[in-house]
Amino acid sequence: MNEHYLAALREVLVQGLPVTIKVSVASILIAIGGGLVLGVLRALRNRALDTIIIGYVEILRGIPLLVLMFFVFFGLPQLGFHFLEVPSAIIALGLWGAANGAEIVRGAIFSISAGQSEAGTALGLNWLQVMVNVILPQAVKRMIPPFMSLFVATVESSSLAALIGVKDIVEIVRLRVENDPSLWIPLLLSILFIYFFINYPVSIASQRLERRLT
Amino acid sequence: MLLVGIAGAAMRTSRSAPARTLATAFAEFFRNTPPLVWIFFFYFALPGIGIKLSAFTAGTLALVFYQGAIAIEILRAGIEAVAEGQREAASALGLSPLQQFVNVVLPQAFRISLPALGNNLISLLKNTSLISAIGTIEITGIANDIIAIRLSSAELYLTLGVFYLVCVIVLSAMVRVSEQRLSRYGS
Repeated sequence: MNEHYLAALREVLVQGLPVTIKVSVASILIAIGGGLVLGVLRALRNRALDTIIIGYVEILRGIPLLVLMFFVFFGLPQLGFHFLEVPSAIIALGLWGAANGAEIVRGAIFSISAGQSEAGTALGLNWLQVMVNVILPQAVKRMIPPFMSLFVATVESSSLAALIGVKDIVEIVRLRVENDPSLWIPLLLSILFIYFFINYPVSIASQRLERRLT
Repeated sequence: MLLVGIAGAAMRTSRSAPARTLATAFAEFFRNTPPLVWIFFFYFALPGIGIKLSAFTAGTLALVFYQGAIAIEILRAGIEAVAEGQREAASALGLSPLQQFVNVVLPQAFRISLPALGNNLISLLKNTSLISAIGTIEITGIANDIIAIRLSSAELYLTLGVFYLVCVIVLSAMVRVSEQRLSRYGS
């Protein structure tokens, strides 16, 4: 452990880590928001709307995230939409997360027994009131564990942003080893542990919560 | 991937504490770290300690470990879902622990785990795209490539996306067919 390593590690923590966290958190927020909207729309059981949302979800989940990210960053400028590296990464991760979030929300809403919405309707509530006051409060509890798993997947996937030039912890490592290849092992091990320490508590908490709910 | 999953899940559910700890640590560590960083590790870092792998081998190994770690968890859940009586009955018939696992518990666990394993297989297919990152970076940094790629186009990535999509749709159809086949044998 020489001073080169320590200097590089410092740069990873001071410059890279905030970027990794920023990209991950912004993306998971888009995923939760987008997932809620799309998932609730699925509950309307409108055929045209369903087709559009299913198409979106299946396509976004069917293509590799890396291809989506390259498309946003390299492809969209050709169509006249220019985004910098960080926004591109957030857009790609957010769109991908929203597709996964939509499935989570839909699953949770449809897992609430039909009697609940029938009882709500019988009390004279309209569709929106039933959804907001009866279904969602119960469904939200069931969404939390899968959204936590999605957060873990998002943090892992934020590493792909390095490939479009976002200076996250992976990219900082890659830049530092250009001068000194002997740093590959210590630096990569360090960031593996950084990812692990972010993700492991969330993934354990998610498993615990899920077990408690079932 | 499947072999790593089966071996790991067997260890995770075994009665030997060291085996359990080892398999749990392996599964938790790989599951919670990005496969891209593992690909870098196998390809760029291992030569530092004298292990030189080709891009293909390094990429494949990294993905086998990552998806294998997920398969361990999936199969563990499957094994735990198999009724305890099944193993007891097998043991009453005089089967050895290995025979109990291979002939009685695993086939049933496999059927329970099949949908999740199918998803894992699809995710493996998509993650193969990450291996290209090694090639990208090898050519002295990304900058050169960005220039090269900027000249190519949106169509390229659309085509690539469609290609993956077709593969994924075919694969999920295959998974669904095999689920239906297996569910015929009662549940």
